[in-house]
Amino acid sequence: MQTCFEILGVSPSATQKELKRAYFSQVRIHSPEKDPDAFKKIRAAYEQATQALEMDLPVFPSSDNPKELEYEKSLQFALEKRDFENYYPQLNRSCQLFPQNQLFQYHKCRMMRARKTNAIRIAEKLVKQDPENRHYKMELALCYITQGWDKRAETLCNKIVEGGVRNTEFLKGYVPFLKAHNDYERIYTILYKLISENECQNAGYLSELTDLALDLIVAAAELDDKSRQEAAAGALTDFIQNNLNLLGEKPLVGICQKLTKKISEVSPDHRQFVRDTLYDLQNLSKDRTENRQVASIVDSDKLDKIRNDKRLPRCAEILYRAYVLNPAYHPNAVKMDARLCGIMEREKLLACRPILKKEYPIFHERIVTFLRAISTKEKAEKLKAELLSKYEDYEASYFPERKRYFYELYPDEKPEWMDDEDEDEYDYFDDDDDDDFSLDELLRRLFGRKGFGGFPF
Amino acid sequence: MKTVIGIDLGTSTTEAAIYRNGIVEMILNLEEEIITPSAIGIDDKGKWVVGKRAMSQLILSPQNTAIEVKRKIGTDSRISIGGKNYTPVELSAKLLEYVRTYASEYLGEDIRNAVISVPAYFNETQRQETIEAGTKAGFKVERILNEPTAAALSYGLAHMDEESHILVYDLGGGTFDVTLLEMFGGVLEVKASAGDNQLGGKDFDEAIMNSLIKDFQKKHGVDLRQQRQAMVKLKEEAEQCKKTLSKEDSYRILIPAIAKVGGHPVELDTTITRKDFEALVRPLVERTHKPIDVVLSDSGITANKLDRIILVGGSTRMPMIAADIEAYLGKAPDSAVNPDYAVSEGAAIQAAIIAGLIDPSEGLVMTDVNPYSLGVQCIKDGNPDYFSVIIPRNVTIPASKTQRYYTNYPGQTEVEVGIYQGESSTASRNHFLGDFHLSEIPANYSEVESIDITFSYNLNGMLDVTATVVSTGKNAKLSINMQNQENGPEIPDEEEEAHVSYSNWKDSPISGDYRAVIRRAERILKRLDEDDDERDEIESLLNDLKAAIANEDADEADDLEDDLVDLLESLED
Repeated sequence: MQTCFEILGVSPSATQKELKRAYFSQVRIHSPEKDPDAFKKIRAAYEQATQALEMDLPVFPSSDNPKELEYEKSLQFALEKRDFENYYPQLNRSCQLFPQNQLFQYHKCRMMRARKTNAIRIAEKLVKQDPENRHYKMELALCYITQGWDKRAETLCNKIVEGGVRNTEFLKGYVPFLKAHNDYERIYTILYKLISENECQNAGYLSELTDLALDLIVAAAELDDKSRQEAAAGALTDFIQNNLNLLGEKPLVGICQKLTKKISEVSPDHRQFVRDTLYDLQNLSKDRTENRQVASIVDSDKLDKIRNDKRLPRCAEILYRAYVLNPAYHPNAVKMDARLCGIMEREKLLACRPILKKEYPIFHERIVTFLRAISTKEKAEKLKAELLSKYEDYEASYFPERKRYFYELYPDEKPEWMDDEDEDEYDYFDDDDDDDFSLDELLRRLFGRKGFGGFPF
Repeated sequence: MKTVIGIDLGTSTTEAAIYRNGIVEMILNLEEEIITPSAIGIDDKGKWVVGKRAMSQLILSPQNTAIEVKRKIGTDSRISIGGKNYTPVELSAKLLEYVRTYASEYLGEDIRNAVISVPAYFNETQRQETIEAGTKAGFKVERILNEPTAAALSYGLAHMDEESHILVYDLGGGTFDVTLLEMFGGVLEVKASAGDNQLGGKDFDEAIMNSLIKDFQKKHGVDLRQQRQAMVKLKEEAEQCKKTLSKEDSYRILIPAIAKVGGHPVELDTTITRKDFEALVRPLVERTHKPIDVVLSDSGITANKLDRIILVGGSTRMPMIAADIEAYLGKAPDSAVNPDYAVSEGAAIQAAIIAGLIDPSEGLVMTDVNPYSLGVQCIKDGNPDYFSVIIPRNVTIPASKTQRYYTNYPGQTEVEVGIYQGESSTASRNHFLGDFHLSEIPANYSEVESIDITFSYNLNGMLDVTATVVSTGKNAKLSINMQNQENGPEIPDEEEEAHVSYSNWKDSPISGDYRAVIRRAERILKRLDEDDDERDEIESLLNDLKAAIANEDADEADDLEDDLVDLLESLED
């Protein structure tokens, strides 16, 4: 039987427009009115061919033999369900029963490769049977890569990418290979073309492309070339905006989380671009909740930046945490601690006010009232006294860890109305819970890993 | 060759047309008019009257006349005329009988075949009942055609060489449909269809009416809704008002003696400006945006790729509709077709194609889609009410698709296949179409025996379902048509699941984001004295926040959270 391309009368290397024309002229001959069964076949072929073209997938002819067709159907269902592992024995049987069937051989090769078994022989056989078939070449190249035959992989891949490639499975194997060889130039060229010229609407394909788009950002970062970085960032934003509704629920949150992780994959001197791209992703979504979640991921990353910014005093970190990073979730005790630290490092803080205003505008906005309150030495002393007088008060009743510490030491003081709430939701510092909690440990945590050398009060 | 006519059976008006001598001709009714109002009644002599005659008796004897019957088709409602109850099918059949009479007279032969249009977003039950009404009226219903597709056909026949993306915006008396089509190589391909079955010109009338009733209630303390006569007069005026405001800037509604207040007849005299009207109906217009979004995203075409936006349906005459479309899509609609006749013209063209008058290889070919997903109820990850889609929505029809399922527990020898239509992932929330049993499955471990379920959906919306046990080949079939259907639930909800409210806010899926704030507020509440002013404020904000969380209303909850945080901050500083 024929492949979907043959049914429509086009070659597998046809363009989308040629495919469309062929489909419509067939429809005129076998219209749904006159010939519904023939139309169904044509339509099914058209849908398959369009998808194969858009996502760069291989197509196989369906068999004439009904028994073989049954096995092919089973394989299709298993592929849809992504039920590979369980299907492996059945696939082996299919290959044994029908050794000439390329569909079975192709997928067997894929499965073996997924298990890191050497499938090169099968892949080479396929390429020999059909030397024009790009997808067999891709499969062989992936086998080479998996088995570490780098030289051969490189030669073959160079040939494959010449004509352009959009198959995500291949790219997902090829890009790490290129990364291992530090060939960011090539990664950039291939991925930029892929992301900026994407027209496909398939949700699964788009989500794979998203991962590749982030690799594009990483490559652009490593290349350290302003114009290309701009182009890459633009391509990413366009890609996201064009496909926002197909990328699933709250896609930006996932993208930002992945991008944050990718920051550590980039060499330290080139990370700023990735960070900037991350910040630009804020407010791309129409969903307010999503924007807030994105903002909080971005903010967490900014916290890193502030922590590492040598120009800022150490209290900047805790002030940032208290005032910008979800201020609603930090009880006033934290704000108070932050302010006390700010008072201690008053001069340095006021000195870098212009830096804050320019580079961290939201942060500056949030602490502007506080800065005003400590603008002179007298005001600062007054505020300090105020805060300290409240300190004892807050210590026991507010801050859960402190409360726990306090009542552990003085169990008789615990009043009856205090319920045993579950504290596990409380995600104060995202640090691991530490069971032996002393006040020093607490203060050490408050003021960051560099430590403050003891609390001066 | 048989003569097949096209009929636009609308909520407020009905028209018929015929394709002959290479053009489409509108058929005149017994009053020598093209448009027949969709009204049915019984006159004072006990005879059935249809159309204009029925409309004219609406004010005087509303209990003997029925209008907008199309809104009730596919439901269990009954309509009372002259003291007896009738089904929507029976009444629609009377209307179609009138059409058959006048078409036969106009064409000089007994007309027995027709293509009848339905809103694209009509579900199976509504379509089948429309066919039934046609059959009852003495027609063989050759095809049920989607209204926007019909309008596009009417457009397409004159523009066959075009290559364009067309959006049909059909706002009729009772329903709203949006369809995106592509014209390419002489083929008109529907790519996606969506709509709102409870949105139409009548709702705009009702918006005016509700505003007037409210004002009247305030002024005179009388509820006009209780008085049938008053309502009929009000409706007529409201409709007239709406129509006039499409051309004029204001309209005076004057109904002398609309009702009795304290024994004296009172008049209703008020002026509505176009601005007032547009403000009143703004929410209705915004309801059109969601189906537009669905259609754009399902078809993969963005608004800037649209070449033409065609307006269909009398309600699109309102200037605010065209203005809203231009604002929302960035492109102005055009009046390429007659909004009142386009649907029946298209139906006539389809009728001609079926009758063989237009040869597909030379004339226009059209492909349509199914607007609702079709699938079965199955068990997934422990959820026994999961809707597994077999034919997704907006797939070109006719279509056949197969999915493979597995037995759920060891030793299972039979399955019950429940078939549904709709977009919710919970099967029982969708529209039920039918069910059947497949038995004699070989007993085995769970998830070993597989069952292939094949759906075949044809051009008339007829669904054939076959369930086959793969290992034995034994199968069972079901054809969904009128006999096997339940006249059941109403039109299914849109994609999002129906609104759920949790009794305890802590159960709500969005509660996680707000727990810390709520705890903080509760702590502060404990510390405050009984008579502190802030206490009440915090409490009320807190209660509102919990209610918003229980309703899964994240936007509302965010706003309340901000207010609460500001309040708490100010307390602690």
